[in-house]
Amino acid sequence: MFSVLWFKRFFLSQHRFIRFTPLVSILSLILASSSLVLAMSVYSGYETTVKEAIVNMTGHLVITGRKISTQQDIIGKIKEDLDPTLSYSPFLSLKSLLVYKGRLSGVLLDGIPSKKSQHRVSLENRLIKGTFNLTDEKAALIGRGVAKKFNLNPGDYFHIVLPKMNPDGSFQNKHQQLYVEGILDMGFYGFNSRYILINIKTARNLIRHPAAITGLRFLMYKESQIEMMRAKFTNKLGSDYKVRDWQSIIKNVNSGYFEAVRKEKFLIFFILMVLVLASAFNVSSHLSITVLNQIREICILKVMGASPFFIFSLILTQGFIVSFVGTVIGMGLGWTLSRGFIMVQSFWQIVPSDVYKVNTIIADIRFSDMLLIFVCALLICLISCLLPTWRALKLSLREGLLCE
Amino acid sequence: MDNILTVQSLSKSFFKGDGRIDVLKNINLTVKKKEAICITGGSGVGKSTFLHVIGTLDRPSKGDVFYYNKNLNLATDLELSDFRSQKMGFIFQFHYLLGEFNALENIMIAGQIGKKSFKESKERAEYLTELVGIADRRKHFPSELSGGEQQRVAIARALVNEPEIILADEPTGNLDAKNTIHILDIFFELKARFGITFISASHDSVFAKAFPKRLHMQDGVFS
Repeated sequence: MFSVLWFKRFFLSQHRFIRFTPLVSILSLILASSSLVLAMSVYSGYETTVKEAIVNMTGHLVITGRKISTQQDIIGKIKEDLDPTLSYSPFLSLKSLLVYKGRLSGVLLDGIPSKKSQHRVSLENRLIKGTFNLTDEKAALIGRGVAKKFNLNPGDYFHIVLPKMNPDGSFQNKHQQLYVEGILDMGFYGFNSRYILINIKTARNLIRHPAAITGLRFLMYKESQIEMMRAKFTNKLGSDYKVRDWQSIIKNVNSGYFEAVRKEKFLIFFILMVLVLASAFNVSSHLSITVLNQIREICILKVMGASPFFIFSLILTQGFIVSFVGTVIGMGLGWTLSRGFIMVQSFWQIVPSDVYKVNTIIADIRFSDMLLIFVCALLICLISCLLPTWRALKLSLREGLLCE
Repeated sequence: MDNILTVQSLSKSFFKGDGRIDVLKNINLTVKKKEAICITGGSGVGKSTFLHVIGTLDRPSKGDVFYYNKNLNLATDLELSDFRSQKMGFIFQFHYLLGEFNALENIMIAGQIGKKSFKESKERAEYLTELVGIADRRKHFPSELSGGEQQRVAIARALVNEPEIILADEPTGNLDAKNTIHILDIFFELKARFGITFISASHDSVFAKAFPKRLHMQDGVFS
């Protein structure tokens, strides 16, 4: 309490020029911590966008068979591990060609149940045009990338061609006419440009297998369970099945790219921490000037019997107040800039989606990021305060009292 | 009477470049509890250095200072800080008040350093300002007080932790004759009321004459 009063009195009583030094320290810390918050929130937002897109499409865990199997095959093996905290739905993926007005392109047909299931609920929110309804066996929900590429709109009919190789090596094509029921923004560039969701019955008809599935997608209420369940399923299902969590799916989609982005976040964090370090030098030099200005006062306190801890806390508090104010205002500014980034991004798309493989990037201000920035910035600043504080402790009483 | 302070073979030297200045030379002294001593002598004879050393503000080059049977020379800096805050009060010629705090706060700060609570410090500070006659100047900052008033604040500050010993280094050096007498009155009233041991250094003969025991220092020794 006394330390705060001491800071206030000396701050207000100092010459304007000297009062300027803590303000410079605070300003530099504001810039450093706001840049950190902004950068971290954009990177975290990117991670969140990708995660949400992957989880919406594939769930937290995916079991896929090495060959076409049935739901009973898989459930039969893992039913002991299923509990009410899990929800799952089958899917049947087929590689095919989309043909529309003389143009064709490779797409992935994703047969899903027409009735509501947990991950479908998330997908419904991603509808941008048309309706989310796959009860009609000819209905299809296409990614916005596919829609843009072929200029497809709800109600438009198109063909899909499923090539099938005969035992003699010749190809037999299976055709199916579908129409666009709705257009989805699946959040991830790779999904939007390839995925077509259809009724699983339609997919099964295409391969003439009434119960076929590629695998099961699981959603979990507790994300902490993912790793444990993955291990359990892997153990039960053996080598005929592949169990992947959403993180390994990301790696599968574009391993090098996502790793690079993740590492980039750490790199940017450390690079921007250099700004905090530079600000910490400001805090340190401010505190050195403060100690120099308060030599006489510090020595008076020491004469009265102030313990080294008392002096230490007195000087450190002055550094702490400057560091705390700078960091907190900076984080507030960073938060505001992050909100601004969301608005700017939504209008001008300053982060191009084709480069970053996602359609929208949000700024996700995570508590863990904020805490890390706060703790690191304060710690660096407090460490920088130690030298001036040490000098204050080592002041000679005799010389200090003679200092007028 | 008990010996509250015992100084044995005390020497203090300062080094400047290649030269050595012996300020205090093999001093021996015993101070009894409740005694009032004034050390006289000209400027630069070592009076202030002697007070600094026995007040634990500086370490001796040789010799020891005992507080009763405790050798202060063997105490750590932390122990000495604690000792100063609890057992000793200091009054200087230049008052050494904190300019950014008012009279009451200056006194209270010493109380808080002496581990008194805020409330205790405030009550004690208010009582002492009345005792030294500056109750109406409590909220005034040092720059708004006269020299005599500043010295009275310094006296109140020295007394806030109820010390056993008061060391006063030229306490009236900056005061006129009227204020000098006033400060002397306060000193001896406090001595009578609280049984404090006073050790003062002064080259003011009027001030020194008021003390029952006077020691003359010349060239770093008591003559």
